[in-house]
Amino acid sequence: MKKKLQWLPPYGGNPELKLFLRKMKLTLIFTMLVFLTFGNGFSQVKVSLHFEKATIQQVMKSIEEQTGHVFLYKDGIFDPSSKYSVNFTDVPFDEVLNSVCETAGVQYEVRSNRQIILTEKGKEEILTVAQQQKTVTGVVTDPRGEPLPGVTVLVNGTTVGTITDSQGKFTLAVPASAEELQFSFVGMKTQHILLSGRNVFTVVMEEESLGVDEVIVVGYGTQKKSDITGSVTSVPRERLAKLPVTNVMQAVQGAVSGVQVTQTSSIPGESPAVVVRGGGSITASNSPYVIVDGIPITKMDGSVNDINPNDIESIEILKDASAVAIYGMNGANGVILITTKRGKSSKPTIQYRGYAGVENFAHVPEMVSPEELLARYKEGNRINGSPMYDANVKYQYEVDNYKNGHVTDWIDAVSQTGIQQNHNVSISGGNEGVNYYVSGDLLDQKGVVKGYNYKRYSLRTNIDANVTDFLKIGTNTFIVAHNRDGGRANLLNAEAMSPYGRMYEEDGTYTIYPMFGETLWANPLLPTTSEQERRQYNVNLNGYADLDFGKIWKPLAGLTYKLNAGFSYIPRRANSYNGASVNDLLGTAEIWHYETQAYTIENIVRYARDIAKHHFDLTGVYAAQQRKYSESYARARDFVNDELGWNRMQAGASANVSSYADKYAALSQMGRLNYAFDSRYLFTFTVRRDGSSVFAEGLKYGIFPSVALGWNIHQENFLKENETINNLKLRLSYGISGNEAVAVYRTFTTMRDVQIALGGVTNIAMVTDRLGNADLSWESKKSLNAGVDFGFFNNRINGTLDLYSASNYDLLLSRKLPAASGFGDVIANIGKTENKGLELTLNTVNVSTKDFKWHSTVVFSTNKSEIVELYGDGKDDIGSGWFLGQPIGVIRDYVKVGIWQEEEIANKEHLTLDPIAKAGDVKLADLSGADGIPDGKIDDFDRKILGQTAPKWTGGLTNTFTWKNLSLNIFIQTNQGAMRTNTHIGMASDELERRNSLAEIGYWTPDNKSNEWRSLNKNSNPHGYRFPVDINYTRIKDVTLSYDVPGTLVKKAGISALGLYLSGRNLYTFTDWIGWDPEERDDARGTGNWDINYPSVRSIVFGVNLTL
Amino acid sequence: MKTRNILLKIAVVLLLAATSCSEEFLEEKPYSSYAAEKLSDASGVEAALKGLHYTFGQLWTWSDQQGWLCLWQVGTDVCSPGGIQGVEIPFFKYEDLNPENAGVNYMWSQGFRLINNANNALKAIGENGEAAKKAEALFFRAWMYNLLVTLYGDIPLLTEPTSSARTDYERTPVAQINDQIVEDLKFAAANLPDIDKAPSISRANKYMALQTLGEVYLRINKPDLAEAALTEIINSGKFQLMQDRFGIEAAKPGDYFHDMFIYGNQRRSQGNKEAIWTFELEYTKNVAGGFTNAPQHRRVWVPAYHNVPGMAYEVTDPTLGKISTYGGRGNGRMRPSNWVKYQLYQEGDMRNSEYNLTRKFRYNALNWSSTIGIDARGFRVAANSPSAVEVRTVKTGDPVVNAPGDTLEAMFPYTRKWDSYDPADGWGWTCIKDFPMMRLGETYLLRAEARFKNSNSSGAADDINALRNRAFKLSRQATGNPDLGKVSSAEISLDFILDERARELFAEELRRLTLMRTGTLIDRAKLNKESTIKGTISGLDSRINLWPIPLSEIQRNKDVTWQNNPGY
Repeated sequence: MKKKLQWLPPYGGNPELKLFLRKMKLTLIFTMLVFLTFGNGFSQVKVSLHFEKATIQQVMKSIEEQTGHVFLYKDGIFDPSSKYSVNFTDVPFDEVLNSVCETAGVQYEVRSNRQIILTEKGKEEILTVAQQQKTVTGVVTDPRGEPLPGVTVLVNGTTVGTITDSQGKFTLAVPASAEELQFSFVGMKTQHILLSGRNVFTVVMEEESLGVDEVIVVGYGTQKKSDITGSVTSVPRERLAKLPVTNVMQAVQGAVSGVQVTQTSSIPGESPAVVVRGGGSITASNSPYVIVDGIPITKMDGSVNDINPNDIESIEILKDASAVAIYGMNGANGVILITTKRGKSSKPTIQYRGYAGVENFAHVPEMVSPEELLARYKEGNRINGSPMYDANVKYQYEVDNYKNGHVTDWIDAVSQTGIQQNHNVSISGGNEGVNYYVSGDLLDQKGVVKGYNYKRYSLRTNIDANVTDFLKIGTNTFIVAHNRDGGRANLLNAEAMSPYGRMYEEDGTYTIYPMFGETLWANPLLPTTSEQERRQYNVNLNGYADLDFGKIWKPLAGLTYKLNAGFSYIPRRANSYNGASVNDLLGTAEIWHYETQAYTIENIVRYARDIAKHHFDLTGVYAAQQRKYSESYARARDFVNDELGWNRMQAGASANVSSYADKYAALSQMGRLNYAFDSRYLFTFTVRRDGSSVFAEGLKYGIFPSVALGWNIHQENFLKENETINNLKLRLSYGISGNEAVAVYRTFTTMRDVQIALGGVTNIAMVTDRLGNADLSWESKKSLNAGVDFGFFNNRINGTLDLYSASNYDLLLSRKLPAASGFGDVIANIGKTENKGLELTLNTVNVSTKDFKWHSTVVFSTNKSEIVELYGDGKDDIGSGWFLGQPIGVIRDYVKVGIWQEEEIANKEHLTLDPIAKAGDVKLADLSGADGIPDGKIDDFDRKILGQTAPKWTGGLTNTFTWKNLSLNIFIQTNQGAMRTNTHIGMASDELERRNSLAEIGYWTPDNKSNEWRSLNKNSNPHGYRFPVDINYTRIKDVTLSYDVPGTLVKKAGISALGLYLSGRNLYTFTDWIGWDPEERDDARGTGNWDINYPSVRSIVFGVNLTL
Repeated sequence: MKTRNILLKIAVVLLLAATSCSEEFLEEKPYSSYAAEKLSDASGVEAALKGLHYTFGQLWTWSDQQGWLCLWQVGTDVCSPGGIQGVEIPFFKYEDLNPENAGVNYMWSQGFRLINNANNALKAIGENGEAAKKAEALFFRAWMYNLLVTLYGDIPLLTEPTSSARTDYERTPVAQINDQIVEDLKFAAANLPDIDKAPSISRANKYMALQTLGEVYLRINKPDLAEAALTEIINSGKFQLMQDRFGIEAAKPGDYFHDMFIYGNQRRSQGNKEAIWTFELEYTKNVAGGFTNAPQHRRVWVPAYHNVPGMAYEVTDPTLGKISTYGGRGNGRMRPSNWVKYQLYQEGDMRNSEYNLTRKFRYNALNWSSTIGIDARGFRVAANSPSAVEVRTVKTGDPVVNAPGDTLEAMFPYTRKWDSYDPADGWGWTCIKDFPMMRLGETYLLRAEARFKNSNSSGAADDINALRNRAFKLSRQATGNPDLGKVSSAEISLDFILDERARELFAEELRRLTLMRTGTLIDRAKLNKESTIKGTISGLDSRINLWPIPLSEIQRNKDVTWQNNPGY
C-alpha cells in the first residue's frame, strides 16, 4: 500500500503526470473526470495564476487543471473580446474564484461533483427556464474520442430515451419539462448532464473504475453495488475479453479473491475445478452452484464449458451466507452468476471477435538419455536380477536400434504444435419493442499431444420483447455442440518408452509394444489409430415473462412478477472402435449414450417501494427443478474385420448391453427483504426453504435463513464532503446455507446385478452394492462475514476486504466402515468443519495522465480449513485421512531423512531405527511408537501430517499499462502452501529400472551414494512412502498487448471500431516441481485417467475485435 | 384494458400451476438398482445365491496386484519369488509383513463381503426357507470363515446381514466360530444336492461341504469326524481318480494327469470325474460375464521365457496356425523351489512328467538362429565375450542355453496346470481356465491326514497309495516293477503327507493355508533354503502363524479397541 502511494505524483507536481483533462466545448464546457486531490477541502486548495491578456477561457482552464473542478456555463455569458491579466501565487481557491468571477461579471455555484456553475449575475433562472418540447442531438465518445454505440440516453426521471447508433450519435425529442439527460453504458460511469437550453451535445464517457454505482446481479434480481450487504465479487471486465480461454473459469483463475480455480487437466475442452472460500465439505461436492441468466446449469448436467466466453456480459460470485442464502440448499459452496449479453436499442451492431494462435508444452521435463537408460537396465539387472535381453539392452526390440545407433524421441513423437482459434460473430440491436443479441461462435483447438482435438460450435439468441408497457417477455436460448473426437496418444507411455524402442513394423504400422518383450507399455501412438467419437450437446431453452403490475394499476406500482423457466436437453455420446491396429484382434465396438433432460421453473414476485427515506424491496420465489438422466451402453466384439467400426454392431459375434436411469427433483421457496434508510443503513433478511429428493423420507426439507447489515459511512454527513474518503462501507452478515450435493438414491441399501457363467451360460446374479442410510439429510453451513468496501483519493485506491468464518456441520460424509460389515463406506450426516479466511481486492490507479495510465489490481486470499469433529468421539479417522484440528485435505506420511547407505547398514545403525532397511532404501524418521516415543521401528506411528492439499494462500497481480491506444496487461498468479504427492518420483522402483523416466529423478548405487534418490531395488521403499512435495508456484499467467486502432483510421474502411491484440498464456512458471507442471495430471499407470495424462500448455494468440 | 385483464389471468394461472406441486414430486425410487428386501422371491433368492459364486470368484480373479496369487505360495516350502510384483514381498521377507499389506487387506474385506452376501441371501430365504438354498449360502459362509480364522484368528462372527453402519465389532474367539462353521457345514452337507442334482454343475453340492467339513475337523483336531466326512465322499461312488487319457486332447501326446488341467477338460461334464468343485470361467467373447476382474494365474506361474532371445510365446505353425508351445505368455512371478524341482519327486512319478512339470526348453522362434558364447559354467554369454570358452550357433529347435540369471524369471521348470493360450488374443491379460477348487485326489490326502492322526498309518498309506497307483501306473508298466512308488505305513508322517500334497496339488492348493492349518509353516518354509538375488526367506518368526489384522480395520472399528495379532 505505502509503496503504491509513493508512485502517485505529488499534488501540484509535474503537469505531465497529472490526470489528463479532456474538455469538450460546443455550447457548454463539460468534463467529468477522476481527479487527484490529497485530502484537501475546497477552501484549502491553493491556486497560482499568472496571465497577461488572456481570455477568460484560458484562465478557467488553468484553474481546472490545478483544482480538478470544471466550469459549466452557457455560451455567450462572457464577452469574447475581454482579456484578463491575473497574478495569484498560492492563493486559496475560493479567494481566486471570487476574484475571477467578480472581474468577469458572473456569479458561481459550486456543486458537490466538482462542477462550478457560472451564470450571468442575476440570471441564474436560465438554467431551469421552462421550454417547449424540442429535439436534441449529440455524439457520445469513449475517453479516447472513439464514438460509442449503444449508450442509453434518457431524460432524467422519465422513460423517454434512446440509444446511440453505431456512430455514437443520438437524436431525442425531449419534453419541455426536461432538465437533465442521463447517459449510461455498461462499464462506464453514468453521467447526468444539464440540458441548460442546449440542443447539441458532445459527451465523453469515462470508464467506471470505482464500481460504487454499478448495478450488479445478485440472484433473483439486481442491486446497486452500494446497497449490497453481502460479499459479492464481480469478475473484472478485462478478464472477460482478449484472453485465449475456452472456459471462462480459466480467466477467473487467480483474478478474484476467495475463488480457487484449479486446472485439473489441460486437455482441450475440459473444465477446471472451482472452489469458493476453501470448501467445507469433505465428501459432498465443493463445487459452486452456477446459474446462467437465472437458470442453474449445476445439477442439470450443464457445465460452464457450455457457455461461450464471448457471450458473457458479467460474472458475479456470491460468497457469504447472506448472498448465497437465497440459494438455500445449493448455496453452501458459493454461487456463480453468469449474465449473457443482450441487445440494446440501436441500429444493428455487428461484431466480429476472433483469435488464432499456437500452443506448446508449458514445460517439457528432460527424459533419461539413451546411455543413462542402458545404465539403469544394468543396475536393475545387478540389484534385482532382472533379465537383460542381451549384454547391452533389456528388450528384444531394442536390439536393432541399439546396433544401428537409432534413437527415437518419444515425447517429440507424440507431440505437435497446438493450434487454437476462435471466431465469434454477434449481431445485436433492436428498437423500442424488441432487442436482440445473436451470436455464433466456433472454437477449434488442436492440442499439443496428438489426437487431442476440440471443437465447439455455439449459437445464442437472447431476445427481449416489450409486448405491452407492462409485460416484457424474452428468451435466452443457446445450443452448443462439443466435439472431442479422436484417438489420443498416451503421454505416460511416451514417457516410458526406451529411445531404442521400435516405432514401426516393416509394413509401416505401429509396433504394438516398442519395447517388446516388455508389454506393460504399449506404443504411445497406438491409440491414435483407434476410432473415437466423443460428442456432447446442450440445447438450452430458457424464457421469461416479466409483468409490471404498477403499469396495470397505479396503486400496485413497484410490484412485479417474473416467470423464469428453463429446459435443457443434454445428449452425450461416445463411440469407439478398437481393432487390430491397437492389438485388439477380435475388434471391439462400443457405443455409450447419455442423456439428461432437466427443467427449472421459477416464480418471482418483487415489490419495491420508497417511503420518504425508507426503501423497501421484497422478493418472493417459488421454484421447482427436475432432472432425469439416462444412459445406455452397447458393446460388440469379435468382428469379421475392422471395416465398419461401431456402425454395424450386429456384425460382432458377442454383444453386451447395459442401461441406467435416475431422477432428481427439488422444490424451493424463498423470501427476501432488503431495507435501506437514506442509502446509509442497509438491512437484508432472507429465508429459503428447500426440499430435495435425495434425502430420506421426512427429512427432505431444510430451512436456511440469513441476515445482513450494511453501513455506508461515506454517506454520513461527517464524511459526505470528505475529499479523501469517497467510499466506505461496512458489511456484516450471518446465515445458514446448505449442501445437498450427494448422488441420488443414497438412502437405500441396494443390490447390484452381475453376470456369472454357470453351466456354460450367462446367469444373472445379485450381490450387495451399497449400504444405504435411511436418516440421510442435508449438510448445513453457518457463516459469518465482515467486510469493508473502500475508495480513497477519488477512488484511485479502492477495494474490498472481507473476513469470514464458516462452519459446515451435519456433513454429508462418506465414512469408511469396518470391512467386516461387508461394505466399504456409507454416506452419513456426521462431523463438522470450519473455514476461516481473509480476502482482499485492491485496485489502484498508479499513474493517470492524458496519454499514459497504469492500473493495478491485487487480489489475495487465504483460507484455513479445519476438521472440528468427525464422529463425535474426538477421534481422527486415520483410515480416511481425516484428522481433528487439521485441514480437510492433508498429506500424512513418513518423514524422509535420506537414503540408507552401506556403511550405516554395516554399522547396524538401522537396527535401532528400521531393522528391515537395506542399503539404498528410503530412510525414514522413527518419530514415535505405540507409547508415543520412538520405538526403533517404522510403522504407522511414524507418519505425521506434513502438509495440506489446498494452498494456504493465493494471490494475483494485474498491471495494466495504457499509452494512448496501446494497452499492456500483465497478470501474475501465485499459489502457496499446498502439497502433492509426486507420482513421477513415487513410481515404483519396480518401474524405474525397466522404462524411461524423468532425468531429474536419479537412483542410488553403492558407488553413487545418493542421499536423495533410492536404489532401483524393487523393495527400496518398503514402507510405502509416497514422496509428497510442495507445489508452490508463481506463474506469469497472461500477458495481453492490445491496440485500438484510432477511429479516424478505421472509419475510412467503414468500420466503427477495430482492436488488435496479442495474448500469451502460461508464459512462465516459477516452481520446484519435478515433472511437467505443478498442475499437470500425472496419474500413475493403471490409476485414474492415466491413459490421458496431459501437461499444462502455453498459448500465444493474435486476436481481432471488429465492430461494423 | 381487456388485454391487461387477460394477461393478469394468465399470470394467476401460471402462478397456481407452478405452486400446485404435490408431495410425490420429491419421492425417490431407484430406477436402476434393486432394494435388498425385494429379493425374497424364488428367482431373487436364486440370483443372490449365484451372487455368492460371483463374490467368491472375485477373490481369486483380483488383478490389481498380480503378486496376490503368489503370496499363497512364496515363502513356503514350494515356491520362491521370481519376477516380483510387490505385494508378496512380505510373504517371504516376513519381517516386512505389516497390517498395511494390500493382500492382507483384500483377503479380509473380500472375505467379509462374501459373508455379508451369504447372510443377505439367508435373510432373503428366511428361517423356514428351502433347506437346499439355505445350505448353499451356509456353505459359502462356512468356507470363508474357515479360511479367515485360519489366517487371522479371532474375528467377528456375523450371522445377520449389515443393515446400518457399525463401528463396534467384537472379535469372536476362534472356538466359537469353529462351532458355527461345523454347524453350518453339517447343515450344508445334509441339505445340498448330490453332485449331478445341483441346478448347474458349478453350483454347490454336498461333497463340497463334506470336503470342507473334513478339512475343518482336521484343523480343530477332530480327525475321527474328519475321516467320517471324507470317507462319505470317497465311498459315494460318484468320483474316481482319473487314470486313463480322456477329453479333447486324449489323442495328442500327453498323460492322463495332465488331461485334468487342460482347458476344456476340467469339468465333470467334460469327463473329469475326479472334480468335486470346479469353479467355472468362460471367455467373455463367448459367454457374457464369463469372468469377473482378470485371473492372473498364467502370468504368475508361467515363466517369462519370451524374454530369452529365440523364444516366443506364440508362433505360427504352418498346419496348426497360431500356437503357443510353452503355454502362453508368462511373467514368471514365482517359480518352484529347488526342493520341488530337485528333491520332491521320485523317478517315474507322472506328476513330474514333462507334460506336468516342464523342464526342457527349445528355441521356438521361427527360423531363428544366433551365434552365442558359452562360458566355463555353461551359461550363455555374448559370442565375443572374453569369458566365452565356446562359440556356437544355435537355431530353432535347439535346446536353450541359459544366461546367468535366466532361471530366476525366464527359464525354470514350471507347472503346466495354468497353461492358457487364446490364438485370438496371444498376449491375453486374463487366464480363462477353471479353478480346480476340490478334487478327489485331495480327499485322499485329507483322509490320509485324518487316519494318520487317528493313529491309523496303514490306512493313511492306503490313501496315499491310491494316488501313487495312479501316478506310477505307467512307469510300473514300463519298468515291470508293480511296487514302484508304493509307500508303506512306516513312511507315513505329517511331513510325508505334506510332501505328498505338494507332489499332487502343486499350484492347485493354497500352500500357505495348508501349512498354517497344520501349524507347520515355519518348519516347512525352512525346507526352502534357496539364496538368490530375488529374495531368500527371512523373518521366520512365530508371529507369522497368523496374519495381522488390517490396520484400517482397527482404525475404522473405532468403538472397540482391537489388539492386533501378536507380533504386529
